Amino acid sequence: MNAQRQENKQASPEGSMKGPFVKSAVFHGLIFIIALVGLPFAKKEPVITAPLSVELVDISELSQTNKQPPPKAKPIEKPKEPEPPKPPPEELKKPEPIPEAKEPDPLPPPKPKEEPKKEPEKPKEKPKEKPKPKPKEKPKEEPKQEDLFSSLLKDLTPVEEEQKKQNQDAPKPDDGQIADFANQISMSELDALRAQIEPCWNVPSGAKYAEDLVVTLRLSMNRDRTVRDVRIVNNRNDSAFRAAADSAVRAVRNPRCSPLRLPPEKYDQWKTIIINFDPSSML
Amino acid sequence: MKKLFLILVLFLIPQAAQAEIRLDLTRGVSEPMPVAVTSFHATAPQHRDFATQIPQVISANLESSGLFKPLNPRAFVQDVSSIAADGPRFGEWRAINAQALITGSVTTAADGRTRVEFRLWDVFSQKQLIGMAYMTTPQNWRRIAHIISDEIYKRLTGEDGYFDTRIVYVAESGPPTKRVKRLAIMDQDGQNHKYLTDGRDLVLTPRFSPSRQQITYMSYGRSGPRVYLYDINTGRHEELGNFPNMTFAPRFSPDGNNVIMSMAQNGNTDIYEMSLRTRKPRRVTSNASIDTAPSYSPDGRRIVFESDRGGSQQLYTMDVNGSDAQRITFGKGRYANPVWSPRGDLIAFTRMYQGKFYIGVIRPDGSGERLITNAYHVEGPSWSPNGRVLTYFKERPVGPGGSGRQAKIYTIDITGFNERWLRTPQDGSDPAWSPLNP
Repeated sequence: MNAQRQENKQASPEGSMKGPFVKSAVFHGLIFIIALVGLPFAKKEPVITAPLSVELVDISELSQTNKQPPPKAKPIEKPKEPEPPKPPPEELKKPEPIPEAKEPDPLPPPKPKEEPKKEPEKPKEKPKEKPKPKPKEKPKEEPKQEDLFSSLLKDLTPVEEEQKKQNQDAPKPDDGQIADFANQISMSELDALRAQIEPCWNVPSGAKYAEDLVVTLRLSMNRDRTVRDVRIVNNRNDSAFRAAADSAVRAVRNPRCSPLRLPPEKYDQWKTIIINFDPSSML
Repeated sequence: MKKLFLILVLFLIPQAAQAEIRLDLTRGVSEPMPVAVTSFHATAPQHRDFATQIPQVISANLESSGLFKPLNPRAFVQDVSSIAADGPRFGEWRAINAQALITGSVTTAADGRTRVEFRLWDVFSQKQLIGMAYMTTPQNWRRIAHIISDEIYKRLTGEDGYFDTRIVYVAESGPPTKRVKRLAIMDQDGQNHKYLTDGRDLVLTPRFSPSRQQITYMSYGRSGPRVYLYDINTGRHEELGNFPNMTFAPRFSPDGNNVIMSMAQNGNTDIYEMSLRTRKPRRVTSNASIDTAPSYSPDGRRIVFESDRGGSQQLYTMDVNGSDAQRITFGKGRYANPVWSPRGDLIAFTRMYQGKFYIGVIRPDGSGERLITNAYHVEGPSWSPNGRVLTYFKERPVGPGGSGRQAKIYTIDITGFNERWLRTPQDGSDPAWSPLNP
């Protein structure tokens, strides 16, 4: 019996040693896998929110997207802006050399007689919508270029690559997610949008503390990619902010920037757009 | 592993559910805003001239600021009477790329005075931004145009305008050896020019009172170079204070009640403040070095000045009692003529570096120095009352061997763009901007 007990005692330590080994191996394995696979999860968010990688990506974007807008803008402007009238001062001199006289009486603002509600001209915009396919194609092509760049940009492409790998490896349960993912607005699509609006945003650069005049707009979009409604999210009651906000609103209302370059099939993703107009880095 | 996939799925779901996109715009453009200034509507024949002249002055004002680009009226589709009857047809104005539209009318009011009315419209949002009416006499049309320009400027930029202002300066004529320098004054657009002094005494560095129709300047009168006070309304000149030595570089305090200046004594220069009420001087600095060119901050608490106390001529700020002096410039070369912006956010100055003159701006804490123009000789910056535009003068050698000097007055936007020559009948130097006309 004693011998048996001794054997049991000897055997049991061996058995108890195997358990921890397995557990530790499994845990290490898990940690290893999490290290490999888990990190990309944490990095995913930037894909959806606006990116950090602006500099490099934008250069490629601008070089392409710029090709389109300027031709539109210049032809329109040039013919229409012959030089502003300068002669007035001299002509004006003649009639009355009178200097100061009594103060005029400012009157309370008259009520506008009418606020004409002519419909914004859609005919113009519609023809422009046809060429839409271009913007669509571009974003699709660009991810490739981005991948090249992304090796330099730590946050972006590694994430996309990791995702692809995961998606390939991942079994069926994920298919639904993959489909949703395809509907996400991509980085390059966001960049295209940014590149489109930038030339329409007239920054109040000389204003006092202009760097603090950050305006956030919430755009409600129509399916035809025109802006239905604009709301100022961070409204402030001072004249400098009001002027800055007006300027931001004009950027998204400007016919030169309408309709917005967005992938029509992803309307659900962009029916609300929040834009942060932040001039601080330019001043 | 199944758990792992579950976690993966959980991570993905919130992302897929997100239905709005966010965009950070950190780059834009800085370009003049296209505006359409129409002729004003007038039915009575006696108003027709004003109805075209007032918009022309408004247009010229807006254009001169560099922030607006008035469109050529020949491109306008909708005519004035149609606007008066039906209001603007915004589609047509948008089609010619106008972002703002200015319309108006001139009529005779019931009391016989002239009524000038204007409206500013936002073309994209299709609404009126402001509308005002003024009752006046016809002679006043030019001022009305400036006042309307200021209203438009204020609504579109968020800052007060500066068009209903004047500029006093030193008009120069004659050969270099016998230069005649007279005080002269004109509207900010160069109109309504007139001389304030006859040229017998040399005048320098005029400065406008921020609150009254007064000018302080330096002149070589009977008792040598002294600071004077000139009342524009009465035309009266008086020597300011009874200083034993040369006084110079005067400037008003923001409330117009004091003049701060420098006095040179025994090879040293210090800063003094003179109350215009009591006429008593108060010594502000007592330093063995040269302290001069003082200028108050708009709240009247600090003074910026130039001093060589640190070995080279640099800019310092201090409390009005002379304490807590802080050096704010550290660049190479020499700094001079600091002027605190009425807006408070910047100090303009002249800098001499490597044989060139620059006009620059710097924040009162010494950060953000920017040099915005340069020339063979450029000096004497003065702020528009809204702190957005600087005026100064440039000199260049002319004549045989470059013995003569040609002096011209310029204005520039503080962004460093839109430098413009301000035409004067003769050479002009030392411009000083008035506050908004009372």
